[in-house]
Amino acid sequence: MGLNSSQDATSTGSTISDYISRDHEIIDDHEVVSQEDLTEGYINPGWLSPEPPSGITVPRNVNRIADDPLQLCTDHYLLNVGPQHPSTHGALRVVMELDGERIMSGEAHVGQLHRGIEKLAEHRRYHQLATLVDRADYVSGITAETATALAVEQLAEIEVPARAQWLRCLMSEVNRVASHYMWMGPTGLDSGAMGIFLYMQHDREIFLDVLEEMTGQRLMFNYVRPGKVTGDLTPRAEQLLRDYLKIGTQRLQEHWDSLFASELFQVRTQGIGVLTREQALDYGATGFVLRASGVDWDLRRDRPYDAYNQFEFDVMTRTNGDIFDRMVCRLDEVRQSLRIIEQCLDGMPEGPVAARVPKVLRVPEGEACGIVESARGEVGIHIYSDGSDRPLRMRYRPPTLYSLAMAESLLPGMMLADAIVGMGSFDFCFGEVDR
Amino acid sequence: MNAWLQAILWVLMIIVVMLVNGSLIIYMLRKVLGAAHLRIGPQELGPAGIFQLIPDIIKLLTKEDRHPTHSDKWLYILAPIIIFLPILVAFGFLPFGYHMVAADVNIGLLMMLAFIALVPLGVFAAGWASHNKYSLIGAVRSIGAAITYEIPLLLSVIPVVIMAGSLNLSEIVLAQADSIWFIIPALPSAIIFLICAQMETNQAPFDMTEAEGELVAGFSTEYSAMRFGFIFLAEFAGNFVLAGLAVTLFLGGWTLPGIDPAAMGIFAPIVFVIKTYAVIFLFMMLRGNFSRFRVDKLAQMGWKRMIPFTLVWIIVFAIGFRGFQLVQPSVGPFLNSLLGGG
Amino acid sequence: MGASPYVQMDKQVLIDQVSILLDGLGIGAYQIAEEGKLGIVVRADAEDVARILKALRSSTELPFEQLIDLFGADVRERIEITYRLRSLMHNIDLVVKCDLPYEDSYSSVGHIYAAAWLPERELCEMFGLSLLNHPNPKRLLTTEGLPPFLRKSTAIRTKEEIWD
Repeated sequence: MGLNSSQDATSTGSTISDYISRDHEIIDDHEVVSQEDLTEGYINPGWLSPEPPSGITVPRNVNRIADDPLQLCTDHYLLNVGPQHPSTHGALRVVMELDGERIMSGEAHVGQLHRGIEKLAEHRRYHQLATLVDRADYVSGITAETATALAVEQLAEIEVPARAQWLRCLMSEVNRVASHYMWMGPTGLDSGAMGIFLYMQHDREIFLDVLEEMTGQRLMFNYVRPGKVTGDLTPRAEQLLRDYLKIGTQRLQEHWDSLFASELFQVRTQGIGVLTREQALDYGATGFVLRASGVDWDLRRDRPYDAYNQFEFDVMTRTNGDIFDRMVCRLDEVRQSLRIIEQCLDGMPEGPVAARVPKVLRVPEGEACGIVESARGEVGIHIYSDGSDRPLRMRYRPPTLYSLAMAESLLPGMMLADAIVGMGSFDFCFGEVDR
Repeated sequence: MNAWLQAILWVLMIIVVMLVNGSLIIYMLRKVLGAAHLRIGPQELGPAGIFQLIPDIIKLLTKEDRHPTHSDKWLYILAPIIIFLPILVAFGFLPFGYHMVAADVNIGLLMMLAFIALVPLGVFAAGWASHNKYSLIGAVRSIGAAITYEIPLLLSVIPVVIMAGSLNLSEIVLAQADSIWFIIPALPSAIIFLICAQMETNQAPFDMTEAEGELVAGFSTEYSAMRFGFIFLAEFAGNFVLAGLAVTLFLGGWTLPGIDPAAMGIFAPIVFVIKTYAVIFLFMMLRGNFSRFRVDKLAQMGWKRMIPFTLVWIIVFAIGFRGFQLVQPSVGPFLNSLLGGG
Repeated sequence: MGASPYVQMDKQVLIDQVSILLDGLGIGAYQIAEEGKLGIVVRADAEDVARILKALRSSTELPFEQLIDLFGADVRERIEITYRLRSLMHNIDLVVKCDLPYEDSYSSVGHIYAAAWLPERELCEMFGLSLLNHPNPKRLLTTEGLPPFLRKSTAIRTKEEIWD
């Protein structure tokens, strides 16, 4: 365990460097950086020269393969993928420069879903922030709500009752499972496997039913507020979860057999879209992206919040950092989430689910940051308070905005078909990227 | 004049069979894939949703028939017909029963494969004329895939021709009625044929030409209304033709083992259709759950695996068959007694 | 219980080490202190930030491998830019802050942490800063011609909307 023992992902043969075996030519810059420089060691001597390069620096997302005069000369063309493309998982538009089916460069255009959530938050009371952050990451809302609540609680120094903390953990895990099922299935669908999408939706329904039972909503939960949660565990929700826990291991095995064990899927995903450990750290990867690249890091274990220090669970890491590993990492996480859910149901302490919090919460001046492990990575809510009942500034740290830069950097050299699966494997949620 | 009337009747019959078959396959696809995906499929119109197709057809007929601004207009109009017609013609060579075949020609097998091989041309025309990059990628992929699967498809039927000693499909069926179904001696050929048929009909996991996850709808992205309906129908008819060809070549066609072919009568087409739908069911189950091939991996599979394998298999089979023919006079009566004297 | 394999570094040790590092760079004008709920905060001049980040990243005994977040805030007299760095090995976060006046230019740190490429674009469009040293200095979320939304001077509704 630990950072130093994690296997170096560069040694496992990245597909990108197989594709881009020749030197790179950097647009608008006469500097030529070879692929070895790009992947060998995360501290690039060129970039860490005593003075930062003036003018245009190395644009990592517009690396081109140098034209080889010996190869058949073909024209490049631009392909506009999205925002209505069926496989961009939301309002993403990627402009790709293609040579046949090989991508030469790609640039992501986002913002179609921008609603100004951070600005709106400056005009909402602290209780109302949960409503807004739900709309940011609309697939796993509970975790973002928890981050908001944690930040406000730090500032206002509110003690949260133990049962409320446990319920937050329970609901976060339920939401995480629902989110992982929501996003593993469509990634299978991107690769052409139709069945797995519906099998996973079938399972996700159970978890959505639990969320609906507990919060009254299936997506916009508004469940975790500063100092409390809004509902206690109901007998039906507990029964649904206990029923699923009985078949959970078997269901996960079935998902493994029907998608991951299929050789066709492995051929399509293994060794493709490789994000090395150094690249992952460099691009600010968190969550399953970081763990799939071989870094053993999980906020639930390393910065325990709520009641997470009382649960027994493993942090699942993989070493290759390719599409397959990112998928498997999430499937493993579902298994661990089920473990946590079981422990939650068994050991839930008795007591109130809400602390006494004033209706209009005024928090002292200062700054605080609540960070949680969301289904997609680290969600951090950074709140500036000026002593009034509204935040001066709320920052939502969207994990998939950082994943987007990674996906962009992986595009050159990929095939079009792989790029679709590759982008799917990063689990973008554009409500969150655009906010 | 009688010959003309007969020909027109045959064409009408083929069209009717094609339409009925299309609607049946659509219903079957929805129900089979539904069951494979833990869904129900259509259930509202009629018992178990069997009339679902009627509003579908009305929808296709009444939708706006638009074509893209900068498209190649005539080619765009022509392409669905180019896709549809070869399949329609290929129907004519399928033997549905004793003398129940529209065109009983001596080179029926070759004609049929030749007409089926025209379909990618129509697909390419559709993609090219659409003035859409997704369509174009799909079109180029279809040509790349076509030259990949046509060769193993042709090579895989050679053992059947060796055994039957004829290219006439009716005679191939009768040859199987005399001996055994050709799938037993030529199992590897049958497997290669089924894989190539799956590619030929653009079905998952070989649906790179329409690859809805990558290319929106591939070559048919810009098609709407009944033009799309034609492409859709041609796809299902192609499904039936290739499954029917597989049945004819490897599964004894319209005959049943142990029954005199001349005595099959009206049951011959029923047996043929049931066998064909069993093969289509296999196609659909393959379609349900596999990831899509990448286009370069498909080319690798075709050129590096299937073509060398079929070439070697033809040589092995030819040598084995000749050896069998040499020893047959001594062991033949014994085998015949084993197979029930047929 | 799942215990973390990383031992959290003592905050005072971190303050001392970062101070030594920054003094070695010859950066005079900076303050480092523990600020309330936020942890250790380094406040420095905007022109020194790139050097500080580079030193923190390439330091061997104190490597801050990750830039977790980069954002700005309009604190009514100026724009405060926050970099949240993380050392996985020492399991500790470090916040680096610098101030920029309105309508100033911001120099990219993407060549130090690639994580900064996209958030920088967002920062600059949202606070009306001009982005320098960036390979793709376009707007990220909004279209051209819109005001910098996260400035306090930009109202969330226009006059007509309020009237309606």
